[in-house]
Amino acid sequence: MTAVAEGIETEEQRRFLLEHGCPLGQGYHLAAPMPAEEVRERLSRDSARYLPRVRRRG
Amino acid sequence: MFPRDAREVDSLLRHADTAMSEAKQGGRGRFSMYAGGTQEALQRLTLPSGLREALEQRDFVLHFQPIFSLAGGEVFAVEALLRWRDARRGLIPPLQFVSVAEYTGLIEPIGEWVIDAACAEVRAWRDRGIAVPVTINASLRQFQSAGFAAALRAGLSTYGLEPGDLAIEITESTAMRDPVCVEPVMAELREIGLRVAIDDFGTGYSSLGRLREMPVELVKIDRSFLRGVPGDPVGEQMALAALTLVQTWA
Repeated sequence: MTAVAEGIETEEQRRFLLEHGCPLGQGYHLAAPMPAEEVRERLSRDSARYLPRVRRRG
Repeated sequence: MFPRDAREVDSLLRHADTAMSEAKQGGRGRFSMYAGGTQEALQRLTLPSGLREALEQRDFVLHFQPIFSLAGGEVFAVEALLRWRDARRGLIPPLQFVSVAEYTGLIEPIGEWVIDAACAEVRAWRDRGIAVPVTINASLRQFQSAGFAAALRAGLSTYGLEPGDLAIEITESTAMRDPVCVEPVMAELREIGLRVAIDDFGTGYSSLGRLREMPVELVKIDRSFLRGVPGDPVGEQMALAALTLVQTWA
């Protein structure tokens, strides 16, 4: 069975789960539920994937 | 309970009654507290007729929330989420009407609408070269209905989809309410080639042994396990325990 973590709300949670071997996740931090047009548009882009935002100091 | 829910004997009894019928709906040996004011009770009374109209007028819409690979960030699947589009109240999430839909039996035609709409959406994705599967949430009534697998097959063939394009989510507590019925249907779905997912894992007071025997591929760990994570040591241990449990079943 493959684990999916539900309700990921922060980048820290995503990283914690990833470090502990959880392969899949869902939640507002990654993407909120969206209407059909938006999901089509998002899935069509190469950038459909979730990319953690790079934090800049200063 | 006095004095939180009401101060008059009359309304106390009425609220207690509401709570009792809710507990009965949940199954044997449950308890329930009265959850809201008169306004909400009134709304509950008008819900069934409103739902029936909504179904006739197709006042439902699907929203979509992706499930990602945590390492690469790719979209693994997209969950279809039902919303009731009400002229006055806006978009109503399923939590607020699914129990009404269940006891009025409207859940079955609504469920069929969801299957059709989700398949139509996947067709639109395929036509744009998007190869992502959709997951849909199914109720116990659907699992108990003889036509469930047929409705899924019909949805796939109408839109020219493969069985792998569709996954069915059922909550742990739903699956455990009637495992004798649910298990063979899960097996049938797997035979067709659909994937099955357990939703809200960790909230269903299940027999873990029984759950382990179920023919499912995905287990969605309930959001409550991320409370206090990271940081709270107990919270972290709980989350890891749930994760380990699911992964040792692999």
